[in-house]
Amino acid sequence: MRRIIHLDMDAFFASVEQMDNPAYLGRPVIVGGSPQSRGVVSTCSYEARKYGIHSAMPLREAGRRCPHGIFLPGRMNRYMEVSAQIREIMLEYTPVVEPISLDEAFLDVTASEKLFGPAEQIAKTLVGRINKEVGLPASVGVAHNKFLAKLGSDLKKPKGFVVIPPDGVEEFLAPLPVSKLWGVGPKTTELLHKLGVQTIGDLQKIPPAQIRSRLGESGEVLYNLAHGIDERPVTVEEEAKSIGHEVTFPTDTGDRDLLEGTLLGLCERVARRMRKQGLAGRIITVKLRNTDFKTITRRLTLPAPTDFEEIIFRHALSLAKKANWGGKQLRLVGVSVSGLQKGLQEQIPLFLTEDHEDLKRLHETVDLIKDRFGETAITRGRLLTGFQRRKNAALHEKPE
Amino acid sequence: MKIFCSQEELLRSLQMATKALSVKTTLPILSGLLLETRDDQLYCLATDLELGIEVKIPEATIIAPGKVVIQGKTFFEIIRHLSSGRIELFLDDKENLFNIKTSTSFFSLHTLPVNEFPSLPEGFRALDNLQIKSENLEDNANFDLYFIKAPVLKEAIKQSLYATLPEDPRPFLSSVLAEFGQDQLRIVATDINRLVIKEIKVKGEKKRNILIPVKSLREIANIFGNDPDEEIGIAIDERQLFVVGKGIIISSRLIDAQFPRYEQVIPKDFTGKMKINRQVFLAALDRSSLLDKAVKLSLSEAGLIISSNEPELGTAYEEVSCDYNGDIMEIGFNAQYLMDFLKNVDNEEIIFNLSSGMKASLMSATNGEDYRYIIMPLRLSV
Repeated sequence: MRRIIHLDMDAFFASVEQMDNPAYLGRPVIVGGSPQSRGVVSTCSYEARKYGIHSAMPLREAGRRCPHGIFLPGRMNRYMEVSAQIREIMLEYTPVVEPISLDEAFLDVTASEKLFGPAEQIAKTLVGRINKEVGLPASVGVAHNKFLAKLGSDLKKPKGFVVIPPDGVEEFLAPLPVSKLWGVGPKTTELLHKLGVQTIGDLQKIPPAQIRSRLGESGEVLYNLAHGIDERPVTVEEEAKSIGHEVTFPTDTGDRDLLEGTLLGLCERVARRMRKQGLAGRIITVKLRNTDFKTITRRLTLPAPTDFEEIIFRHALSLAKKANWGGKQLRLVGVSVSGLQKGLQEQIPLFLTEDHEDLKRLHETVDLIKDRFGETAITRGRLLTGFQRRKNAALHEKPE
Repeated sequence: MKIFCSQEELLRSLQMATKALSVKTTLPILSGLLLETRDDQLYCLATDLELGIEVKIPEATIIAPGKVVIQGKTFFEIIRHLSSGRIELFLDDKENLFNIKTSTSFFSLHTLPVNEFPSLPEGFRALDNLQIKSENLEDNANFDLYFIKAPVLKEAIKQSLYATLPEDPRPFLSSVLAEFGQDQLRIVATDINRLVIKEIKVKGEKKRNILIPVKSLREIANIFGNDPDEEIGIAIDERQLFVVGKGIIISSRLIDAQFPRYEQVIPKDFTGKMKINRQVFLAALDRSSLLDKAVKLSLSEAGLIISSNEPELGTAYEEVSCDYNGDIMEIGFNAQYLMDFLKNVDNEEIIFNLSSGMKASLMSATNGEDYRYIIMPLRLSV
């Protein structure tokens, strides 16, 4: 029998903000952007949930429900930092940690019980340490598979601690609504309701062949889950897979000039991050999402790793053009570099088509300026907006 | 149109021609294969506009001549799956169904419009009749003509293509430079970090420099040169290259781009010269690269030491005896680049002329200058 822990941070982004700014404690904090912007709520504090706000709700709606709420744009870098700190603690108890996102992870502690005591004990220690050392609340579920562990952590949020023992699992599941099953979204729920299935118990009574005929392949999965069976292993993530950036436009656009400029800006940020971490990569991926929410990704592999924005941009642009920029107006554009390695060795080229050494010196200099004076201290003319351009011109024209 | 042919011969011909079928195309006609009778012979032809391959299908009996275009991949798969023996091919009266018949199988394929199939360049037909005999080398108004032993060309292509980048958007990396001169052909290929210069003998007069796509060369090397005595003709017009062999014509678009001035990067002065057994060197590199492709060569008159070091794995150390004349030096290389050359020569010994100071080094076979390999070092961190 496996012992699985699912650890889920409570209102993670909002909790980080409250921890960093004690003035926000006890107040409704909504992370995602200003209530005037067209984005959605990323996370909100439990105080905000009292107003009916939940993640994925349009920010405008959240603004209407809670006008005095604290709306924050979110600081991804900070959340990643805290998330890494939490992961370090988890890794002290088992190497088998599968992060699902920044704020939740599965741990397989079957083999760790001999070292650290029963899974329940490990889970308690984890929550205690995260609370004390990081300063954040978390909920956990402990069970013999992933589905039940996740179900457990979700049952008594926040600061929940739920152990689901293997005996009587079916009885335990029976009264819960079918929407609690993994992978059952609004559509499947509707379909199941039509079949007269409201609770997991209702589903347990239906013969497997019938579920299969109605729901196909996923019917089998649902049948198993309804009986508390889930064989999926906790899989360990590979190391730093990729470095990427993407932006969603305030309004969908087909303006090639804007798209190219945006892509260049993204490539520059990606390359800068790679250089900061001493990495170079070979696989360039471009992501385009058009107005119909269709996502197109295109990738290619370079013969040698690079950390040059010029090279990343040249290939990213040719990929985007080959995909005809998604064929429609775009909502989102993104670029990432994977196949990363420590840029220790450097192959010297025979022909210097990129003015290689010059560019390298340029990057070193620009990086140095940014390190000292901030990311906006120096930028390409192409990336300036019209307003900034005029402002800069005015500065230069100012008489002594 | 009605033809009898043998499944084996048809399949063999299609295996060659279908290499030029367009895989990803917005033009459906380019996924088509042209079957055509001329002078009581049956030909099949496929082209993706860059590469075209026409093959004469042997042992075909033409009852009624004709011309048809059908979906190439499907036709090929059908023929491949039929059992060996006689096949009857015929077009129905309305010319919109092409039928394939054996004693037990019957297939009807919808035809594609023949008039939409790309017309072949002027002069292509004339080549069809070109007698591939090198002694008959004449001035030809349409083409620059050369003749060459096919296995020699095949080997030269194989010895150059590994040093290219077929998918790179920069044309000089996804194609190969061919410099024709008086009875000589020089092939130059690069992937920016290394350069191959290979010289072979041809029969021909005119000076002519062209860029040939890597993909075309790969097919040329696949199709020609399997017979040790095979001789082929090369005809070049304004924009196309034609390779003509017995019953086969391959056409390739030429790349209109600038190749870098490679003569400038051929090194002339070296820090040291190593003479080394090829197999021994290759095996030692192969082992060292198990840890990391980046290897360090340490050279002195005592011999060669190859080492590699992957911080998270460990280190490798190999001693190789060799003949070294020159300064004591240490230099880094991508082991794969060295092995690529060593795997593609068959000499027992090779010469490695080394340059220090992040400059190019040069490898060649001991018995001459006809195959040179110029390679840039790797800057090692430690």
